[in-house]
Amino acid sequence: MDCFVFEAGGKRLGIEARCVYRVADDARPAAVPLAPPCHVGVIYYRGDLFDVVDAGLLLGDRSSLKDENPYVILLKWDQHKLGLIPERIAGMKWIEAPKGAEDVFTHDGRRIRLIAPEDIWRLLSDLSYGH
Amino acid sequence: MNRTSIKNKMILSFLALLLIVMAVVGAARQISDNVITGLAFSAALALAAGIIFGGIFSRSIVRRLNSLSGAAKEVSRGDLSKEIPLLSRDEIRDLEEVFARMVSDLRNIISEIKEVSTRIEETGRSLGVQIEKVLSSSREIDETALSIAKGSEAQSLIVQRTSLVFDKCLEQMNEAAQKSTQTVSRTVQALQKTETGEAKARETLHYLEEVLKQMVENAEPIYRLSGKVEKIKMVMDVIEELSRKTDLLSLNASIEATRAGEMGKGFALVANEIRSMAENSRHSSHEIRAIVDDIFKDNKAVLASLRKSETDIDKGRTLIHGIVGTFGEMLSGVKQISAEVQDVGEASRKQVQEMRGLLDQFQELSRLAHENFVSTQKTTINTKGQKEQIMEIARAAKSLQALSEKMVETQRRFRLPEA
Amino acid sequence: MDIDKYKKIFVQESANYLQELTTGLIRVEQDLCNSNLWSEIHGKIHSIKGMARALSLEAVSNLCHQMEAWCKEFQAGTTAPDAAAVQILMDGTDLLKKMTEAEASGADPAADPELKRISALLACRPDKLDRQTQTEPHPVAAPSPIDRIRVDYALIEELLARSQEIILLEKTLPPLSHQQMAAGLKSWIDHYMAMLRGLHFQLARLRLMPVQDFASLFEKPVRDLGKAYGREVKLNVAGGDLQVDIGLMDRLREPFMHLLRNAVAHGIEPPDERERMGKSREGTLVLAADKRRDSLVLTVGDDGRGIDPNPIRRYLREVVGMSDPEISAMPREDFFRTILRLDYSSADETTQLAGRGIGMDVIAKAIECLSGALAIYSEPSRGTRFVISLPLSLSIIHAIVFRIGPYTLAAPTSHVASIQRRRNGPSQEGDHNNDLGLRLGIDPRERKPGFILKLRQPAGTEHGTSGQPADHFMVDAVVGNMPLMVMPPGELLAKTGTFAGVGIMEDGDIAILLDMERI
Repeated sequence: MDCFVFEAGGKRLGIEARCVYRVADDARPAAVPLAPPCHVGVIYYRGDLFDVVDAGLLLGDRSSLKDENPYVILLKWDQHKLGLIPERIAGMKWIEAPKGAEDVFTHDGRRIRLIAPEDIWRLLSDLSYGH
Repeated sequence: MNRTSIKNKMILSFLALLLIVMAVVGAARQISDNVITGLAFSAALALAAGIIFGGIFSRSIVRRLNSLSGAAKEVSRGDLSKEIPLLSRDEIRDLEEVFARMVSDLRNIISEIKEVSTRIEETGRSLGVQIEKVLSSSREIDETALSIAKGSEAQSLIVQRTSLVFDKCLEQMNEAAQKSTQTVSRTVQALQKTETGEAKARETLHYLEEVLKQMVENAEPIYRLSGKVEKIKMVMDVIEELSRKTDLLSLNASIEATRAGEMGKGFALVANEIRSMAENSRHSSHEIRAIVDDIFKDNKAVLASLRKSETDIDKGRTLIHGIVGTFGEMLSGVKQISAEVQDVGEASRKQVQEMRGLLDQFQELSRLAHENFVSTQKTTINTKGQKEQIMEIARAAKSLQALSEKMVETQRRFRLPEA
Repeated sequence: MDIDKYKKIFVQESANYLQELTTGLIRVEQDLCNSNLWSEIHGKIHSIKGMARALSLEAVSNLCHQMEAWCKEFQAGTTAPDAAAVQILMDGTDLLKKMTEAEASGADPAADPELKRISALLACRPDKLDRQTQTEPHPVAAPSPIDRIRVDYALIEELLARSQEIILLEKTLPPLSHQQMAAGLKSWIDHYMAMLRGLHFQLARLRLMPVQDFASLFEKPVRDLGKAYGREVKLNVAGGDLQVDIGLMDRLREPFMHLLRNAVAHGIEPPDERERMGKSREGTLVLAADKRRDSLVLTVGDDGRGIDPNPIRRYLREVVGMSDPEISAMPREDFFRTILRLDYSSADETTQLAGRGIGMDVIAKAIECLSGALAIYSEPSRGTRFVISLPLSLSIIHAIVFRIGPYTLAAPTSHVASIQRRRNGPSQEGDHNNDLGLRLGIDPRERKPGFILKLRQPAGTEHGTSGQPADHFMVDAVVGNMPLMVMPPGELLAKTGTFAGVGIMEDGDIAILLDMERI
């Protein structure tokens, strides 16, 4: 299947292509109070509101934020709209993956960890909001 | 006219008398036969008649002679108004006539004299009036002349005083003019000195600028290089931006291609290739940028040192500019002063001239005043002499008038008939 | 003024109804005895009458009343309609249109001579019509001017997306040279951008669709569901003219599908059963939309057998551990809300097609996402109603936008009494409680309070639940008083319980809207 591959928080991750909507580079997330640290803010992109999250902080062990204008991977699935800020984007890759496997390998031998957007969402939801 | 002479008259009268007497005697005789009474009576009567006739006769003569003498008296008194009656028809008439002629002649003469004297009187009067006028105006002239004299006296005094003052002024101005000439010469000296100083400073500046120009020329290629490097950097930026955008685009394209499923596979490949191209160009541009950065760094060092010496030279240049500036200011200041001083000198010279001119005019004025004074004095004298003459005339006129008055008075004695 | 506004709304709304009325009458002309059609027609006339009554438009409401009387008879089947009657009703509809327009323009609606004629006709019973008194056919006017069109949602989305792209394009503008600046290029661009943003803002308002259109999406699925489960069902829509945000509706697609599916599968009884119970063979699903002051109320209801309380009771007893008295004491809404719990599933249902339990959490979540509330009403054999109330999200409200710390927030202008400058003095102790910054967890070192927003409760709102409501905020800077396009906060933001939505300013920037009831 097609998989969008990126690096964040020291990890090499991949998401199913069907949930990937766009990559935006001119988003300026508006910070939201009482949100967890990895929640960078919200953006209004082409009529939709996306929650933008530091993928490194959320999924890995270090922040992906480096410069003013990061790329944001915009994900849209079900009713959810989420933006991930990665360290680096590898791009759309074709992966032969047995269903349910988490660690897969691309054809150039690199290891990728597949994650489902729902899992990301759950991770996000479980964080504390408000005080 | 029938003249009867007196003699005739007398004869007549005598005869008459005789007649009468005769008559009387005759009568008497008749009456009385007394010759003595008759004679007495005739004598009485003759005497009476004789007295009467004599009386009448003499009376008429006497009367006429009396009236003539009366008239003559009147004439002698001056009354020529009465007509002499021509009563007689005898020799007395001649007398009367002569007398009457004399009276009328007198009358004529007297009336002529009256006329003349009246005229003389009139003339004398009018002459008197005129003389009065002349007198009064000559009095005025006199007064005026006096006041003029006084005034011109005063004037000439003032003029004298003023000219003294002017003289003093002139002296002072002369002094000032002399002083300013000195100042001028001194400032001209200063000016010259400053000009020399400025010229020297300018020379130095010029020299410095030459040096700087040389340096700049030498530095030209270095600057150009830095400029070029800047340009390269700009181009690099654009390339980077482009490759970034291409990267993004190809990413999004690949996403869309994935969504397109089967149809999108070919597109996905293309998108990937574009992506890798963008990636490559990014790498290359990174490398180029690194190299360029190096060059830039070196260039920067050179530039820095160049700039430093430039700054030094600039500092020197600014300094000298300052000096030149100061000189220039000084120069212009001195020039100004000198100009002003010259102006002052000029002005004071002019002033002196004008003063002199003024003084000349004053002196002229003074002379004129003096002349004026003199002439007024002459005039006064003249007027005085004139006045005396006039006075004489006046006196003469007065005496004439007196005479004429007398004449008038005299001829007034003569009464003339109302004409 | 107000009356005019309402009159305008009345004219607009009634125009729609009248249009449908005409369509309905045309349809019923072909199918004279279709009582359903008649009931629809009746319903529409009734709606118009209601609106006219509310505005005291006597003439209109009287005419409606007369027409309604006839429809009732036809619907009930007591009288058989015929073409002539339908014609009269159509004439009545035309007349109603003219009368409503007359009302709007201030003319006297009763002046129309047609009114007398039609009133007279309608006064008699429909079957006692004197056919001979039919007047000559009057001229048929052209349809009214086109004032609405149907537009593809995709087109609207595209327009919005494009306009946003154009706006974002400004960010790629290369730096201007001095000449260009001096030539006024910058100010031209700024002006241009401002106009574009205005355009975008207006376009955003296109994201409204009538509930009817949304509901009609479900017509086929309902039919299919009916076929799948062997039920006879029809879908009724009420309040279809209400305009709602497309995005909002889109979010409700799945939940509604679940609800409808549940209703068909578990609510509506098979036709035979229904017959036995005395109900009509065909079950009715209702999708109703209503606008309350601040919220949109959507109802999905059925006239089926209702939710079975027993499994719920069992669950409460066994899993939750409540006692029977406690269970009985629960208010009915709360009782039924139990089914929304994550761990609830009516274990009886194990059919492949989703049981009551599964899918409920989807619904609950979706509604929670939209900051909405869900109430469940159910009566055995009568039916079930799911009442969803959503804050009118896509509205454009005026708000005071301000900055506090690193955040840009907004408070509705109706809640702000005044804005004052804060004099630099020692911070008063009372500020603590009111300090928005603290409540929002902002580091005091990042604060530079410069302004005070004095708050007030607008009439009719209730006090917040969190104890003493704040009466002023200390903020760092005030951006301004401006219209904001408010979108519902996402699921994550909703968790904070502090925000009513995300406001988009005219220039595309974001200000988070505070929920004044909860602050």
